[in-house]
Amino acid sequence: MEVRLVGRFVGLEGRRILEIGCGDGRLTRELAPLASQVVAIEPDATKVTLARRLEASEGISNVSFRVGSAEQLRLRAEPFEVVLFSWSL
Amino acid sequence: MVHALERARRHLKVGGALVLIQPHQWKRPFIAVTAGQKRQPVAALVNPAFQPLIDAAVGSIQLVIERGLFERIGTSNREYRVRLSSLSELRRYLHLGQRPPRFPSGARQRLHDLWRSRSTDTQIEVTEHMTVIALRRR
Repeated sequence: MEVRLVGRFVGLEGRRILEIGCGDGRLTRELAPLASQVVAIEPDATKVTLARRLEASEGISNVSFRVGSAEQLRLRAEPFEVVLFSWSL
Repeated sequence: MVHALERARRHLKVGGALVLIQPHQWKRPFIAVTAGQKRQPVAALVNPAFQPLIDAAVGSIQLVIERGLFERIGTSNREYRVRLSSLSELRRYLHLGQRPPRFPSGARQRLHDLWRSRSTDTQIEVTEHMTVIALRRR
C-alpha cells in the first residue's frame, strides 16, 4: 500500500532510491523490483542482518543494506533520484 | 530532524523527490472487535509521548519548505486495518514501535470483556492512519 501511495506522487520505476530507516527491509523488498538500485540504511544492526537474510532468500540483487542513520549519512555515491524516509523521521 | 532532512537533501539530485511515510499527525490507532459483519468499537488509543515527536517532524518538513530547500509535491492520508487473532498478538503489535500507544481509561477493560465473550471468528481490528508527504528538491 505504501509503495502504491508513493507512486501517486513519484515515479519509482528505474530510479535510484535511498531508503532511510528500512527496518527489516519490508518496504525495501517492495521497492527493489521497481527501482534500478536501492541503498537502504537502518541504525539497528540486528534489523539490517535480518533484512540481508530475507533479501538473499528472495534472490534480490539490486539492494545494498547499510547500518546508519540519516544524521550520520555520508555516502560516496551519486545523488539519488528518490530519498524515502520509511516511518523514520 | 531538520538536520536529517538537510543531510538527505545532499544525497538527492536537484529536482529529485523526498518522500516521507509517517503516522498521521493527529489520528492514533483505533481498536475494535469484529466477528463476521459485526464490529464493536473499543477506543482510540492515546500516545502523549509520541505526539511531540510527530509534531516536530511535521514542523521540520514545514521549515525546510519555508527555507526554500524543497517544494511540496503533495500529501496523502490513508487508513488501513490490521486484523489480529489474540490479545497477545495485539500486545506484540502495539509494542513494535519504541513508544507504544496506550488505552484510555476503561478501554482495556472493555476490550477484555468483549474478548471474553468472543465467538470462533472474533478478531481484534486495529485501524491505523498514515500520511505520505512528497517534496521536490529545489
